[in-house]
Amino acid sequence: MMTKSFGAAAVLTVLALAPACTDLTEVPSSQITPENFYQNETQAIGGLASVYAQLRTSGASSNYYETSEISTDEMVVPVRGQNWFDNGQWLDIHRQTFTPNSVGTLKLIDPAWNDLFTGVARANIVLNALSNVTFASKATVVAELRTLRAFYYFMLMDEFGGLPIVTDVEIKARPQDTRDSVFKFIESELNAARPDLPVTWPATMNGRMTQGAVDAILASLYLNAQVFTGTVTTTGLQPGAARWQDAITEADKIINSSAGYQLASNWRSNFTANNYSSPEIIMALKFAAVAGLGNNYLMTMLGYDQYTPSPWNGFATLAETYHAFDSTDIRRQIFLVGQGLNLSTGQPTTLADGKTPLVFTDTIGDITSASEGAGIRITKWPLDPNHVGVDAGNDYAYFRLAEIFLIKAEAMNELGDPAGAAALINSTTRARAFPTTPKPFSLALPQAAMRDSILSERLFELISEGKRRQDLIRRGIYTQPYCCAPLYGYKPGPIPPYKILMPIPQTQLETNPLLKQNPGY
Amino acid sequence: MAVVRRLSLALVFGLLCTVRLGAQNPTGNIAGRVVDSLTQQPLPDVSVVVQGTRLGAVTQADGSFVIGNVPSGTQFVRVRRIGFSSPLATVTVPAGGTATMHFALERRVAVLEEVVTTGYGTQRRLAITGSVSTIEASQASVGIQPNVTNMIEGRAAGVQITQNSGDPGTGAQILIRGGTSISASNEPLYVIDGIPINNVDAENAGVGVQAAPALPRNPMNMLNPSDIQSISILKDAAATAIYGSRAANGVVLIETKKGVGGPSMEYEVQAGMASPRKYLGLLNGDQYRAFIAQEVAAGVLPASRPAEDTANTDWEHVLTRSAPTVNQNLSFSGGSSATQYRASVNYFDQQGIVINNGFRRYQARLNGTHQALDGRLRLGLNLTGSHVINDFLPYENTGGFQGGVFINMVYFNPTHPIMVTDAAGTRVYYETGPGAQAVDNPVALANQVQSKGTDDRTLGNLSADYDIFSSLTARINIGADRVAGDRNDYLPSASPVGSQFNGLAQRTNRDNTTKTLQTLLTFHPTFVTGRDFELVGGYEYEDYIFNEFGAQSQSFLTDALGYNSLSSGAVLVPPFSSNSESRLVSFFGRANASLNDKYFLTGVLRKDGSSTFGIGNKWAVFPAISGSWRLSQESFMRTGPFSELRLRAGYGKVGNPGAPPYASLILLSADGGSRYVFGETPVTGFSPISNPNPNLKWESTAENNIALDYGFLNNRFTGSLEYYVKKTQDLLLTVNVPQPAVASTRLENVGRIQNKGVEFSLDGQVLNRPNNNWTAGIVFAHNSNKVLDLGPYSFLSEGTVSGQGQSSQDAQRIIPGEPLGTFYGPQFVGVGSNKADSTTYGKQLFNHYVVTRDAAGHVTSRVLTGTTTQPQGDDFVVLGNANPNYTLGFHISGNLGKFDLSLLINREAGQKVFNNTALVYATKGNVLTDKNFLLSALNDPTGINEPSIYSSRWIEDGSFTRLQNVTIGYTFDLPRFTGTARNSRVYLSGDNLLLFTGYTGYDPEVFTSAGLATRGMDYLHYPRPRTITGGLRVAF
Repeated sequence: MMTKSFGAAAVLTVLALAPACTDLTEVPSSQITPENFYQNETQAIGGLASVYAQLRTSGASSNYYETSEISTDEMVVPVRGQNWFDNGQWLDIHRQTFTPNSVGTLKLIDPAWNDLFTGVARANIVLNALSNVTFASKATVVAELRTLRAFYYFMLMDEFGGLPIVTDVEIKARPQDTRDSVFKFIESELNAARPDLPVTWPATMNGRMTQGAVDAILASLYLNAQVFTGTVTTTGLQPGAARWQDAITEADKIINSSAGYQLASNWRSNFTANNYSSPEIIMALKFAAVAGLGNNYLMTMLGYDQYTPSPWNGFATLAETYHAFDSTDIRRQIFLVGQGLNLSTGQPTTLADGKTPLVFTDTIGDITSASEGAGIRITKWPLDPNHVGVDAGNDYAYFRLAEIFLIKAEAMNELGDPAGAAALINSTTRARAFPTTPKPFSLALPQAAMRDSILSERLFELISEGKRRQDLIRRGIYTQPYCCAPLYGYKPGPIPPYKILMPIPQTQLETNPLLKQNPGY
Repeated sequence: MAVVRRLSLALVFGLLCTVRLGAQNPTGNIAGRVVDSLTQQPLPDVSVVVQGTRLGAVTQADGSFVIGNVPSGTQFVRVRRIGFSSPLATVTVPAGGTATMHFALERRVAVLEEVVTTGYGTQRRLAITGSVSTIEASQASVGIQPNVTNMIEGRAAGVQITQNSGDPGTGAQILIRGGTSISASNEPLYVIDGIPINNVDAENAGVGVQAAPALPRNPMNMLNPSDIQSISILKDAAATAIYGSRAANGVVLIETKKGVGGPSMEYEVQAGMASPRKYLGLLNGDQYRAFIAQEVAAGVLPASRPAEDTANTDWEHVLTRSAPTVNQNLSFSGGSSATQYRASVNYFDQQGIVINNGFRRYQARLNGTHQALDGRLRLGLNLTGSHVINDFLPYENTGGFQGGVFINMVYFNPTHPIMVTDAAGTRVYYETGPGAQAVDNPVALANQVQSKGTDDRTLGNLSADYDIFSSLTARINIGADRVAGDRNDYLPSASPVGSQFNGLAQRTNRDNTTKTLQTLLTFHPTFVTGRDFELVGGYEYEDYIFNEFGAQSQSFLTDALGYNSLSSGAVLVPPFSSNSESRLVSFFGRANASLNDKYFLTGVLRKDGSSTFGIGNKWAVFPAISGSWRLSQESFMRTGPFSELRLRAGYGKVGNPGAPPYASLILLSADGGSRYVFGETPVTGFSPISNPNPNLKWESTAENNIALDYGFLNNRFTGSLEYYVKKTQDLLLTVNVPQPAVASTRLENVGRIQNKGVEFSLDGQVLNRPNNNWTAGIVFAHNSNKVLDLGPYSFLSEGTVSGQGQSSQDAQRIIPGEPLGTFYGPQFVGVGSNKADSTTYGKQLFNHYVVTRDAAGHVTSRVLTGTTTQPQGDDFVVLGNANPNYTLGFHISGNLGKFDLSLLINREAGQKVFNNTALVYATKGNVLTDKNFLLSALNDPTGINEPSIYSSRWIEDGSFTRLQNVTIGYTFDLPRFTGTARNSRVYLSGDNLLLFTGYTGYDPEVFTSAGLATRGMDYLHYPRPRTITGGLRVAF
């Protein structure tokens, strides 16, 4: 009887006490939440690093970069046998047939939208968390965060026009602000951040935002002001007010900066693996030869055996673009034409069959059934001998001094000084490009012809650096057929002029019903 | 709340504790014997119970039983064994003496009288008001059965089982009455001996060979099928609601064998041989050389193309083999009247039909029961320990450009030899070398790449039942489940996939621990005859802890160390680790009432709380009510053809927890995406990696079920007809969020899905004579699935197409109004044959539509206007779906004298399968890069430069009929060895012997992702073998 009572008591005690366990609070152990982070300088820098890190989705090989480049005459991705059809996404972008629901939009433009807005959101989270924290370098960190956020908006506005301007951390549907409002937001944020930024950083902090970076973004903003503050309708652009003088002012701040920017004597050193030491680079996306942190630009361009690991043999430039270069222009050396070589060994390489020599041809022919070697490849960022897998350490410059000179020259030409513009270019980028037999622009060119010369010079100097789309839109020829149709005319005409803005992807419209589609789509 | 609950329970128990525990009466014994009425053979394992008491016994091998301490006077005795009638008889027990009883049981098919495990208790089949299918292990255990899912296939209506592939130990997709979820799991809840199992992948994914790693192995591999006594599958919400939040996909209750009767021992050995049932068919070396010559002559390929090699290698045949399987079981059981035990050990070794992979299991199991305090206290222990060794083949079932064994099997040029002699005179694997780094010798890959996993699982529970008084029983069940899985990979530098790293070694470890506590109170008062009432109330607490750790290093001086010495690598990759914990807390109750065995009513209420949901949404209530009416008991039905007729109806609501830990929170992590380079040094960044969703809540499914159970000719034929409608709402979906946001998506409760269906089953005793006894059964199910609502989304893309040149190609869309698994793409109409028209000749032609839309973007018209070679968005239409119109299982079993035969046939009809393998590899264009292709493309008019384009061309009818299993056995006794040998048996069994289908790939039964919305995609699956097995069972 005693045993029974004990047994019963034991059973009942457990039965009675067990239901006490009803606590369901979650405490993550291998991650943390923002409420208990970003509490000191080290942690704030950790947050800042993550906002910089998102820049990797806007530089070489990113969705923003590829949609921008491949929709111009700088790059094309032809279908090569069984490779690179990819549901037609590359052709959709190159032919500018993108619509809110087309494959290029859903698979390339939509990720670009998300990537860039993630940069904005990361900046907002850290800025929000820092509002109640104090530490020595806080003003600088906040200024960097605001500059980064403005730069993400700069790229978003460039592709999509008007956008919701968001500085809080709430996730909700929001209506667009006009493109002009976004322009003004970027402008005011940059101007507000500038005083708290340093002129230069010590070498160990190379890559962080400076006053020069702000000036360069502003110069670019003012260069494109007629587009960025204009109105896009189904019939094209109604330009906004020009800001040429402001562009010159910003350019001069850089040219005269105490940071000591100067053109690199060796043009190629702006792109090599150690390009961080180039005195010409004003603002760059930092890459390192470390898994996941590198530049994999060469993978998209090179043939299967030109590199280890085996590249993807996809992207190429158009023959017309290659042939636009003067044969003595040192900047033409970035192209691979004819017999392909292994970049590491210098030995001739073969096609994927391991036998037939790899020969790059300038013409591509039918871009829906191109051969393995069709199309000239661009190696703007050359081999990093220390690359790790696909990751190379070549930094990607958003702004170099060379472009600042070209911006200033273009503004001078627009303000009625073609001779001054020509002289500036001749003494800077063209002098460097033709070291033995100079080929300067004539100082007697009228304004309209000088405009064409500047556009060409920008192509020669800046090809593959993500500038061409803006340049073509600014000149009003982005949606026109490329020059040499039908030979290289891969764009079926006519392309409606409203395509100077990318469509807002259908997926985004469904997620945020307050957004309005861009005109024409 | 919790405090009130605790106090009230304590109060109840306090009162109960004062109840007097009963008085002593004079007693006697009951003894007797049970035989099969047909064969007059003794029946062991029959339960004999004195009604209204806890007294009972189980018959011995010779059919005898003895029950002691029976109160004297008139007693009702019920005799039960699955598969037989269960008569009730009266007996007068003399005080101090022994009453004798003999029973002859009649065979029954799917008997209504059987006792079925229904979750937190058992019920007579007769009294079950929900939808429950049962499988008796002895019937289903035929052929080689690596795990429990194999036993269910084709045997339960409405349960669709799709094996992932023919990979040994592979997992399976189980859909009970269609899928209820898009992104959360569609796996049922497994409950073993009352303890819910956390059915997770034990191992990390491997490194993968430039492609997705092999599919995970089946988590149920830890359980030896021959330890299983019975399987109950709870299908409708009325039956599953007692499991509340985890029951939306149905519940599989597994009861293992327990020790019964006197000492016995059983040894079983199986030896099987598996071989490929079908080959894809590739060009051989001669065909390849001839094709190249032909194309060069025709000017399609350049004349400068270098000569092909001279070998003639059939890569498909050199990679496959006939592979043995060995399975050995030894079990013994015994004990005294108070203590019984059963112990078993199992060794299972299955080699794959592709070289160099397989699956081995060492498993031991012990269970024991003990009665004390005059039977008032019953203790039970179940303990399983298993050690599973997985030897993985580096193949892929998704992916693109470069791949593992199967891609290279198809691609690798058949004119290449397997091995060559190098300059140093050593035999080495032939590799095409630089220039063709996208292709690797598949035999070398299979042999050189090391990929091994080991899982150690310990699963145990301890239960105590205590009769507080005769009608009130308290139960505690404590369970623990720990599975530690290692995954070890080495890519040697000698292999092209490892040479780029100079050798790569990775070791990962994963550790899942589940702790369970259940307390249960069952109140079952004895009423006057004809009325029955039972009340069950309980509490359950489960705690899940997940740990993971991994490290990788690269660049080794030698391949000799494999993955065993990470510190020998010159390049160390940062290690990773993570930890998470979640909890589930539940209160539940169930009431069963019946009147005159005619009217039955069951009500269930469960309240579940999960830590993984938003702060205000952690708790939810899941109710169910169901009832049945036995029309056959009514006087107006007495004369009809039915010996049994019962109408059942039920409604219930169940949930799907489906959210990972911390899904509602915003989390910061120092992941790779937040590292950045300042100066030239990488800096660790901390960034948000997930969007918060404080409103995250349960996915819930409401189901209505109506059924008719019938039996006629004195229940010689029995079966059920069921109809159900289930609607799932608040679907957990990973959806886009309005930007800006730190991640593009988050988990939200969006949308609704509906499943409607009919199930039918009929089992019959076709022939019922001594020594010539045959049963046959059929199960049929039809389910129709429909997405009702996707919130703001007009569609979601699903079903990533695999293969080179297929980036951004999705094969399926989830569209409101259409079922899950809907294929969406252009309609193929033919290949351009007009040589004069260079824009279409040799190119694929697709229907081209002109679509007009109104201002709001809605389609106002769709007009077919000719064909196009480059289909665009508007040319994409619905191409069918991957769900079968019906599934059918047919089985026969029986014996002729000492010979027995069983047969199982499965059929699925009407489903579409996307032959992704053919899309990518039935294309001659592969010769442009010197790769092979499928023989079926040789005479295809498609041009050599035409890329692979996903379209209706590759959507095939996947209907099939499969002869799943045939087994022939012979039963014999071995009295010469021991006096008690019984039921020894030799048998020969064949699995997957015949397949009738129009599908052109390996096998139309395909499975793609981890049980989510994507279905019916076939890409280079591990071929499913045909297996012949011989077995011997000796019992003492």
